[in-house]
Amino acid sequence: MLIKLIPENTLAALKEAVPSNLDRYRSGMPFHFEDALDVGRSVDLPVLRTEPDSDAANVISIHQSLKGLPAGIIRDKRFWSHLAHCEFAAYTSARWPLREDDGQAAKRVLSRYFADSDRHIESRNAISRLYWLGFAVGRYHGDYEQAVHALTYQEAVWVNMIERPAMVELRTVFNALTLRLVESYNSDKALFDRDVFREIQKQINLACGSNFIEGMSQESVQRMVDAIIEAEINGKSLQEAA
Amino acid sequence: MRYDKQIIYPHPVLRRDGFDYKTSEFFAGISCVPAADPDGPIVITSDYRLNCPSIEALVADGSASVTMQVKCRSTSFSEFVNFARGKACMDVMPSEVYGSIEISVVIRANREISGFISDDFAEDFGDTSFNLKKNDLLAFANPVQLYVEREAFGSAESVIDIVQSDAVDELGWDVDTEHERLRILVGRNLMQNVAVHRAYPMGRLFLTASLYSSAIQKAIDTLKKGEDGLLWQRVIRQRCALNEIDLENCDSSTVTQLLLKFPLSQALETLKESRDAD
Repeated sequence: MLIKLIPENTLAALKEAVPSNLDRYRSGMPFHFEDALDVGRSVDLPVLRTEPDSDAANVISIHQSLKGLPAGIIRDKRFWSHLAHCEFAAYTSARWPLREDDGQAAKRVLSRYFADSDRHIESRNAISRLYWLGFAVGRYHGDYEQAVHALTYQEAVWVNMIERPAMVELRTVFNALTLRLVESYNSDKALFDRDVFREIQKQINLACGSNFIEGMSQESVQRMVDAIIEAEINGKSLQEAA
Repeated sequence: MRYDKQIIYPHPVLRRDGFDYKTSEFFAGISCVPAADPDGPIVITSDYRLNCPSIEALVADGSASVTMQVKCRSTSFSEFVNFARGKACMDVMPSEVYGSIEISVVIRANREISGFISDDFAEDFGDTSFNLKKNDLLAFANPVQLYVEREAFGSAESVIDIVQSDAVDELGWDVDTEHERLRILVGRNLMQNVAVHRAYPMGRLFLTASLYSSAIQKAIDTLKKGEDGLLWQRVIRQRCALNEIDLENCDSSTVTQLLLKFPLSQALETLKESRDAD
């Protein structure tokens, strides 16, 4: 399939027209843009699954399909918007069904079919979020597929891991936390409690705030993350846990 | 790691506009140059100026390191290199970064440091001394944001096209900021004169001090109202960052004069020299 982009002006008009296009979004019928830009590259797109709990499989297949593309395309909102509106319109509609309330429905369309900001590209657009998780986990030093399954298990954990740029940029921290998430996923899933995980992330952010974490070894970062998890899960103070 | 002048760290951290030290200063100069080979690396270099005896002593005896860090959110690129003999240099391949990158220069503890104290600590700290852990931050210079696309390394004028247009008065001109490159739309008669004079050094100086100057000022006004990621916007931001021009806080007229290196003065100086020679 040739890679296509929705031109900027068309994209702006499309956003304006969201409220009047809600029926079309609800139907899952693909849009067609006569003026779509052709960037002269092609990719083999996978068929994305729509049954429940298919996110992990979709992450793996979409990342496999798109991972050779240059950053200029991967960070282009026009590319992801085209995929969600055209090639993967049926998938997007099935995975992110629109509520009956038109206001809520329009919000969801703006969030899942468009890709206006870094945050939207990384964790909101229906297709780019799959790619971006695959990209982030591709840098994990453990088992790729296990990690994808663990991070897609709970939306709040997924979003928290990906939406914080420091988390993905700091490979040692990402590795350390993903390692424990995989273990937790395979056992009692205690880390997937929304409040517990949010507090752990908060403590990690604090710990990273006043020192040059990039200069720490993987082992030191693992110890730091483990102490934070231990303190949060077992209600210990950080000093006790460390 | 966030380098923010608002953050209260558990120990004094030297930074611009910070309040932890009385008079000490830490500045870093950043230079970013694309290789001649289009597929070659972008070379980022830095030097620094530190005026704080207590931290200088830690750097001198190896207890602290000066480090340059390069980060790019678009590709999750994050690498650092330590300074050696006052300089740091990093080669970044164009495929590793895209769009905006952030370059930071920091001083961090290389090992545990007991009883760190400085005569220049702010009054609030009194005679307090601090025990620092390895990698604790001692100082940071203001991070610099750059765009790493090759096109963004051009001069401000390099993204301007002068285009003849029937939509403006024959003797007039207008600026179109809607495209990737800035377009100065020039009336038919004016275009003939511009075409003649831009071929000569004095004519180019005159055009820079008038047409380009006004166009860039209008473009900066537009840029300050909002950004669409257009090439001309990225180039102006890049030039401002590399020339340490405060785009956000300086008015458009000042930014224009700094970007174009005081074009009216240049033109008048050249005119004077030319008259003196006659």
